[in-house]
Formats: sequence, C-alpha cells, structure tokens
Amino acid sequence: MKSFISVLAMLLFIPALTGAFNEPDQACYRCHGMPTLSMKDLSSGKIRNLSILPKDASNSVHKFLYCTDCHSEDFAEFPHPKALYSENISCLDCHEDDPDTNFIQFNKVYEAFGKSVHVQKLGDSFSCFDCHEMHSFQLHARVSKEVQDAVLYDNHTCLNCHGNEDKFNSMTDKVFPGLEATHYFLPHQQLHWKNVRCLDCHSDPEQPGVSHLILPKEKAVKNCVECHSANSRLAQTLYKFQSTIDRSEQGFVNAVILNNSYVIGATRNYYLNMLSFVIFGLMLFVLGMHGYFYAGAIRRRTSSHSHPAGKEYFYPLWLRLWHWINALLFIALIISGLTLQYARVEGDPLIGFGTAITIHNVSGITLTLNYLLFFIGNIITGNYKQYVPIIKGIFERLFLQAKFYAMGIFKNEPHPFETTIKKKFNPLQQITYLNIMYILLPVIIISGWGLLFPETILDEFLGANGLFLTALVHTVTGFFLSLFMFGHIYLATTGHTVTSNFKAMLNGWHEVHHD
Amino acid sequence: MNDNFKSIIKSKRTKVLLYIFGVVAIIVIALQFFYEDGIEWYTGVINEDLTYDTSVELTEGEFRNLVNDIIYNEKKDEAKKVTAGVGDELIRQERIQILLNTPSFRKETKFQHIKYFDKAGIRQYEGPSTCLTCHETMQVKVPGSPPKDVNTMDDIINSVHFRFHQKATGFTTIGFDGRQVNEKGRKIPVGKIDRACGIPGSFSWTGWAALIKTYPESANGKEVLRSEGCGQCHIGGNYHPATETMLPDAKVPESAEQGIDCLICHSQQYDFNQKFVLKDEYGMRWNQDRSLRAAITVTNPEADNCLYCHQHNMGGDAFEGNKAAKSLGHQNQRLLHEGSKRGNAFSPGNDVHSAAGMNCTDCHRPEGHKIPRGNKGTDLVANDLPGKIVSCENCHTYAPHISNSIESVMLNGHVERLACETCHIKELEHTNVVLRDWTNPHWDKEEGMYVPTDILRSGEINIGFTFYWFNGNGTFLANAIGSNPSNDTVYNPLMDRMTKLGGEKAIRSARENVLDLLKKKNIQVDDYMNAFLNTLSQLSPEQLKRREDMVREKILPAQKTGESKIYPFKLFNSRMFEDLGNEGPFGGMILPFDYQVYYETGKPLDAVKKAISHPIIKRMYELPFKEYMMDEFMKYFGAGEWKTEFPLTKDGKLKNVEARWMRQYGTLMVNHGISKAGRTCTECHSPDGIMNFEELGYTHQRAEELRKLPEMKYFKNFVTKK
Repeated sequence: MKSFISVLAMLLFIPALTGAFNEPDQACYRCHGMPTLSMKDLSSGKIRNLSILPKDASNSVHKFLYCTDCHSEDFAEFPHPKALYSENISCLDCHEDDPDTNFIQFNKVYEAFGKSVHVQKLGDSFSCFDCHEMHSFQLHARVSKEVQDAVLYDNHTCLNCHGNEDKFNSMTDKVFPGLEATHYFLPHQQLHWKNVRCLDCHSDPEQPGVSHLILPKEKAVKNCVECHSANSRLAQTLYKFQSTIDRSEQGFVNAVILNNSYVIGATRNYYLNMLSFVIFGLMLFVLGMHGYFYAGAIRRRTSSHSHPAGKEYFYPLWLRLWHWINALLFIALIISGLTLQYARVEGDPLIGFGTAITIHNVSGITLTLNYLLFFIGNIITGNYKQYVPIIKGIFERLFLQAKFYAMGIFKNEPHPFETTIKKKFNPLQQITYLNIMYILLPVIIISGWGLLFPETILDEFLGANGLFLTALVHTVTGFFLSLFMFGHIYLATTGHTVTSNFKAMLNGWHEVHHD
Repeated sequence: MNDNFKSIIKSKRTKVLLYIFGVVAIIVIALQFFYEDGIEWYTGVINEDLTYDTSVELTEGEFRNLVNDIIYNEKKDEAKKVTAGVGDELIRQERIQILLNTPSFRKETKFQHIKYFDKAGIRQYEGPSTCLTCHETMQVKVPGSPPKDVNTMDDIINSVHFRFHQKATGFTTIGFDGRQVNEKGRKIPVGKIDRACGIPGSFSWTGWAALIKTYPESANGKEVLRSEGCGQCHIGGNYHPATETMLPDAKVPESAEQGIDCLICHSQQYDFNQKFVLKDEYGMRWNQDRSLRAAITVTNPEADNCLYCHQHNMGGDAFEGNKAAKSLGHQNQRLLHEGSKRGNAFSPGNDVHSAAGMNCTDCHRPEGHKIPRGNKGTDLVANDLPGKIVSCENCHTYAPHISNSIESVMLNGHVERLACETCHIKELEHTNVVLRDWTNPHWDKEEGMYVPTDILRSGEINIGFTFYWFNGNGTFLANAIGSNPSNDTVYNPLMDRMTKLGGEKAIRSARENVLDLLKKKNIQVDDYMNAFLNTLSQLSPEQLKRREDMVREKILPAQKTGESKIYPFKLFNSRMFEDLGNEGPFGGMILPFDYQVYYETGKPLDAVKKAISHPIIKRMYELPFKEYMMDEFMKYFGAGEWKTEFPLTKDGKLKNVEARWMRQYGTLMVNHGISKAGRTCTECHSPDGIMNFEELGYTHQRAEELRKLPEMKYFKNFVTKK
C-alpha cells in the first residue's frame, strides 16, 4: 500500500502522456502504454502483448471505465502481486445483470458460444478473450451507418486467427488452410469478403443479437440463393439491425437499397417488379390482338400476292452472322438475367443461380464483342447510313407507317415505304433500331461491365448508391430490350409473306414485289 | 531500267549517302574492336590477362597426396574433438590414430568437391573458368518465388562485392539537397568505389595496389616492401577496380572476369599469405591463392571467409582475433593498421552469435551472390538486395526478452524506443579511431614509415560512440537521420551535437595527443583543436547561414519520416585536403593521397599531387564526367554543381587546396559485437546516466523525469544474467 501511495504521489507531477485517458489510469499507462510491452509465453510460443494504446481505448465501448473497474484494485500496487496473474475475469461478471446492456442478452450469447465449434473443438480454454479485445471493443453491427464498416471490423475478429498463420498454428495442430483455397467455390471472393461478414455464412442465424453460435465448416452456407433471393438470409444476419434503423429513420422504403450494398437477387423493388409484369402483360395482349386480326388479313390474301418479281442482295454475310449471334445472346441473357433477378431458395426458376451467373457474364462479354463487330462493320461497309434518319418530315412519315401497322395491315394494303437496298428500314423501324443499337445497347453493355467490375462504379450519385443505380439502369434497360425482342420477332412476320423476312435474314436475298 | 539505275548510282545525293554510311560503319566497327582500348585510354586503367604463380597443375601422384593430406587433417581435427575428454596425452594420440584408420570415420568429408574434381579430372585451378565448367549457371532461391536459374558470372559481376557501387535505387542515403540518392531522376553510379572517405584516405583507383618501401627498426636499416591497397578485399584481381561497370553500358573485359577470385569466399583452406601486391610488366595488382588445395576445399561461405576481409573494418587489424592479420604474406607483407573503423569485433569472445557458431549468412541471407546489407545504414554503400530486412526482429521477434519476469516485460516495452544494439553493445575496441589527421603524418619507428596521426581513439561510450535517433537513413556524409517521436521540435544534431566533440574526457585525451604531435610542427594548438571541437567554426558566416537553411528545409523533413529509435553510433572525423573550389556548407571535395608517396616521404601534399594526376581523377574534372555524374554528386553533397577547375596547375602547384576537418562528425552504425547481457536500467535512468536526454531532444522536464523514475526503486536491483 505504501508503495502504491508513493507511486501515485510521484505521478501527480507528471502530465498525462496524451491526455486521452482517464486520470486514475495514468499510473497503469506508464507501462501499459508502451506498444511493445509484451512477454513470450514459452510453453505455447505465443507473444502476449500487454499494451493498450490510448487511441484504441478511447474509441471503445468500455472507454468510460477505469482499469480497476474490471481488473483487481490490487494491481495499483507495483510490482503487481503474483497472485493476480491468474485473475479470471469474465464478461458476465459485469454484464449478467447490467440493465444497460440487456439488449445484447449476454446469457444467451454465452450459451450460443458454448455450443460453437471453437469451444466444442478447443475446450474450455477457449474464452471470450481469444476473439475479443476488451480494451478496444466497439459495437458495429448495430450502430454502423455503413454496412462495410461493420463487415470490416467483425471480419477482423475472425481473421486475427484464421488469416494469420502463426497465430493459427499456436492454437491448433491443424494445417493452416489458405482462405482463397477453402472458398474456391465462391466467385468474386474479394467482393464478398468486403460486403459480407464471415458470420453471415458461418453462424446460426436463429440466435438473438450477433450470433455467437459458430457452426463447423461443414454446416456453412454454400448455396448462393440462400442470400441471393427475396427471402435472403442476410435480412436475419447482416441487415438485421440495419434495416430496423434505416426503416425507422427513412420511412418505408426498401432501406437496404439506400445503403452501400446491392445483392443480386435479393435487392428487389416490389412496385417496379409489378410494373414490369403489367407492361409485359399489356404488350403480350396487344401483340396477341394484333396477331389475331393480322392472321385474318393473311387468310384474305389473293394468290397473286406471293409472286416475287426478283431478288436483291440485302444482307451481307457479316450482318446476318451478327444478327443471329445477337439473337442467341439476347435469349441467353434474358433467361439468365431473369433467373438472377428472381432467384429463390427452393426450386430455381429456369436455371441454377451459379449457372446463370456464368452464362450471363459470358454472354455479356460476347455481346460486347459482337456489338463492336457491328459498330465497326457498319462504319467500314457504310451500312451505318441506314440508321441516319432524315429529319425533315419525319413525324409525317412515322405517322404514316404507324397508321399502316394499326389499320392498313389488316386491309392488306401495300407497305407505305418500299424497302430498297439504300433504305432497308421503314421510318418506324429506323427510329426503333437507332434507339436500340445506338442508345439502349451501349447503355446495357456499359452498365453490365460496371456490374462485372463494381470497383469502377462511383460510390454515390445524387445521393443514391452508385452500385444500386447501375443495377437499376441495367435491369430496366434489359426489360425494354426484352420487350423489343418480342415486338421485333412478331413484326418480322409482317413482311410480304409471314416467312419472307426470316428467309431474307437467313440467306441475304430480299424478294422484290411490284404490287 | 538499267540506265535509270545507273543514273541513280551516279547521282551526287547517293554518293553523299554512301560516304556517310561508310563513315558510320567504320565508327561502329571500330568501337567494337577498340572499345576496351578506348576505355583504357580514357580512364587510365589497364586490362591484361592475369596469371598467377599459385595456379599449378598437379601430377596424378601430387593430386592423390593432396587429397589424402586434406582429409587426414580434417579428420585429425575431428578426432581431436571426439577425444577431447581423454586425460593422458599419449593415450589420446593413440586413440586419434585408431580413429584415423577407421574406414567409417574417414568416409564422410565436408569437402564434396574432392570427388567432383577427381571425377572431372581437374588437376589445376585456372580461375573462374574452372568453376564455370560445372557452375555456368546456378539456382537462386528467392523466398516467395520458385527458384530460378541465373548465369553465375553475371550474378557475380552485378553484385556489390565485385562492383562496389550501383546505379540503381536502394540507397539509405538522403543527399543534403533533401533527395534520396538515385531515387528519382538521373541515377549515378555511387558506392565505395567512388566515395571519398577520410578513413582510408584514398580513392579506390588511387589506392588500389601499392608497394611501400619501409625501414622498420627491426630490419636494422634494410628496406622491407609492404603491400597496401583497396584491392586486397576486392574479389577481382585486376589492376583497377570495376571501372567499366561504372561507365554507361560498359562490359567487363574477359581478362577481368577471369581475374575474379572465387576461392577467397568459398575456400576453407585459402592461404592468406598469398595476398600481397605483385608488380608485373603492366602495373601493380594483388596476388591470389589459386592452388588446387584452395580450390578443392570449397564449401558455402562460412563466417571466417567473410571475416578475412570484414574483420578489418569491424574488430580492426589489431584485434587479437583477426585471423587475416596472422598471415600477412610470404613476401611484400600487407600493412596492418592500428586504428579500427567500427571497433566492434565479430568473434566468439566478443559476440554471442559468433560464440553460437553462426555464420554471417544466417542473418545476411543471400540470394545467389547477392547479399543483403539490411535496410538501415548511414554510409553511402551499395546494397544488392535493398528491400531485404536484416534485423534482430527477424529471429528474436519484438519480444526478445524471454525470461518471463517483470524486468523482461519492461525491457520488451523498450523495444519501441531503443534499438537492440543500444543496450547490447556496451563498448567498442579501444583501437576505435575517432579523430584521424592525414595532413600531419608522423614517423612510426616500428613500421618504418610515415603514418597518419590518430588524435583520438576510444571505445568508451560518449567518446568513441554515442546515441542518436535513427530512422534508417543517413546523409551523404554518413550522419544519422532521425527524430524524437515524442517531441520533434528541438532535435537538430547537424547544427548541434554532430558538430562538436563532446565530453571532457575526450577533449582531454585529444589535447594530449595534439600537443604530442604539434611539438614537431609549427601549429597553433588552440586553433587546431577548435576546428574539431567545433567543426562549424570552419565555415564562413554565409556558409553557416546557408547550412542552417538547408538543414531546416531539406534535412529536418527527412528526419521526421519513418519510425525512429535510439541507436548507438561510432563517431568519426578526419583532417584531409579539400578542393575548396568544390565546397558546400557540409564539406568540400576530399582529395586522395597516393599511398606510396605518403607512406614513404611523409609529405602529404606531394601525395595529393601524385594521386590527382591519375587519369581518372583528371577525367572527373572534365565535362563528360561532370555531366555524367559529378553534377548530381555535388547536388547530393549540398554544393550545387561541380566545378571543373583542376586543382593542380601546369607547373605542379596545388590551387585552392587546404586542410579541413569534416564539418560534422560522421556517425557509423555498429551492429556486431553483441553482448549477451545488455545494459542495466540505472545506466541510463539515473542522474549521472550515459544517455543525455536533452541532447536527444527531450525537454528538460521530461529528461529529469526519465532520470528520476519512481520505478527505479524496484528495478535498480536488477542485474542482467551474465
């Protein structure tokens, strides 16, 4: 006791080293503030660092506590009595009956921890402190504004051992597995590890608070659609608290969208989805009605209708190749795209999630190349001229063509604009194709590449999450392109005969008629 | 068609083009043939085929005898170790004989090359070509990558042991203009090869290989030739250092390649008495041991191999454990130098790692022939592997004290502030040179020649070496750069402590020696002493102001980079002749001495005149070299640009050359000679402690706290285990 007083007395003359900690703790920090204060435990080979850096402690949830609030007061004596070295502190000592921290439900956490794989395999010697550093402990999952901060902090806790070969080897005899190797099945590994916590796949989500029931690796989530679907597991884990906070602050919007995350298949907007179904349904209805009456008109055609007067070479080989490759890719992209957007856990729609990812990426890249082929080919051969509209009188011409499709076609009237080699498109076609090829396709291609390499996307644009906006643009453009495809295939039947346009696009020869 | 063609050929334009083409072709071809000669003419160096008397072909019988002899002696040493416990000497000898006749005992030899040479029929060592017969390429293991094959000769030529310099980045030196040497912009070839330093007193070209006529007392008036020069430690046996590699795009001539001495590092039975200067019809060079005995006993380099050369600058020539000093030469014996450069010996009695039987390469882990120096250093020395860390922590971790007591834990806490060397190098050799005056030589009776005068030698703390903050970098003139992490406003050693000789004891010692010396000369003692007691007194007021500004603007920022710890540094200053036409606030261009003239006549100015008449020094003072490297060199030196006024006039008078001490004390790292027990707490944490906290930038208040720590009541009784 005497030495304690004398130590304390001397210390009153010493100004705080950084002023970042509480007065009574100054005495402790004289030694424990030295960053390399440590000892090597010779039996285990582990280095035990005994320092606490004030800057770490000052951000911690425990920052209002004095050292002796948790550690024995007898530590104030120097040299420390040897008996104190075996002091046994447990979190429950304070937190079992602390009303302020009841929301964490420490008892349940401790119970879950007891069932976790660490305690099961390593026994009672594995304690809270093997993962958690009490002096710098921070709460993140509940309070972080940015999901990725919580992810980084929480993952650090796991990676301290599982990413550190020396530390790992000091705790177990097992061979240290490389994380990339064990997660070989996970595509976009780095992206996942930045946006999802280890816990989200490796723990039991049914636990209260942050789940401490770490499952053995055999039970970890390996099925993509567990997270990438409407009923995403993430709502129970990573976004458990986030959604609650945001919803209460920002009102009823899919709050996760406005966060720094986009999860393919899970991020959905109910209203947008509904709208897309309605529009699609409407289009099918219109096309269906149109087809019914058009079929009637075809039946009423006279036999002289289908005599060709000659052939002209309209579509060179490169153009036809481009067109059909495009068609196939569109189909692949639409099918895989729909699978990703509407992924669900039971019964994959159309094809598996993982397969859909691969097909979509590969087709997207091929589409880019195909588009480049089209773009360059157009310039070299001069075919681009087909796409250049004559502005003068354009509305009249568009109206004329529309009138034909709406009325004239049912009366078997001749097409108002004859197709020639120089003008292969009618005005409506030209405007549509111009938009499709030179606006929509570039947009979907560029946004697609952005989604393939998300690090290139702006973090924020006009207050909304850049990644989400890109995905939105991509999906909406995709939707309109799919609409186009259905319309395009249907309108292809409005050639001189139902199959004449298809034949022409296959062999390149357009039949000329003079009636 | 034909007529057209003819007219084209005949046209004037074609003729002119053909002439130009012809001239260019001739120049190119000439360059191929005469490139080497051109370099030799330009730089004044010589390249000839090198022959060695020690390279002798053995007959079959001689070979067998040699092999038997080697194995016999190796086994005898082993047998001695095995029978070390036997008390009676005669019985012991008998046991040794029995062992030597035991087949299983004789079978294993560590000299694997005996059987290789035997099988390959090699009966003469002809130099590198013999080694390259099998070792044309070698596998280099780089940690973290698969092993790769390199061309052995290229590997050696591009290593610092051959080149003594590099043109690349990787120097831990910050020029006085604030730029890290060769980090950005034009890269110049720098290193020991062209670094003027007051310890050797000469340049590698002017001090390469010299034969000195001495008249030692013991010879009773007879002349004894002694060998001296930088070339004794160079692994090439040529007449000059690796000059070609310094020039842009220059190739090392075949003769120089064949002059490389593989055996000096690899042989376990190298006869050091073969290392002496020999004079042949072309010039002077160093001899080598090319006997088959040396060749056949090669292994990976062991500690002694390195120490044959490196103990000279560590423990020093006078160190009793210096093995090279015991074999000075069959003829033209090598000169020994009493003063030592770093004064910290690597030997079993002096250093724990040596006592543990460790090799140099256990810490300085090589990759092929590239040996890392470590990423911290104050002197301007090239480094083969600049990124590779050589540090105590590599093996001892940042918790090196492991006796599991409170004291150990507290000592581990100090690792953040103090380098291991600070506590574990308690003293240097007493031969450690602090002040050396080349300009006032004196006659040494024992050696029979003139030698530079060492004004102060000491291995004591705060005289021979002291403590400075260090972040790993040094200035262009070897001054430690660092800052006090807790208080970075007042620490400015280049304007302060590094310009003074501190300590009453040091000053007293120096004064005694000065009085001794100056009895014979006609010099004012106080003036003379003031120049090294306060080196800044040698600067004019303008130079002083300029120095202050440069230190504040360029050096202080560099001090605050990185992480600094307190390290021990050996101090050094020397009085040399400087070309004051190329002077800056940190020093002037040091001029070399020709060893022969210096040692024989004791007339330093004559030695300077001879040395700077060497063609390569003349070239240094001409435009091509100025552009190629000297301007950059001077910028790092803090002196702006290089002035090409040659300091020797046509009628042999030195112009603008005066004697000066360096304007600040050089601080060299000491890292070897590690003692098992470190310093005790009270050596620093006491009112009369050895660490001057104020000088290290602590406030007076904090320094007092550190001297009167309340914890000392407990720790003062702590005594380190021996």
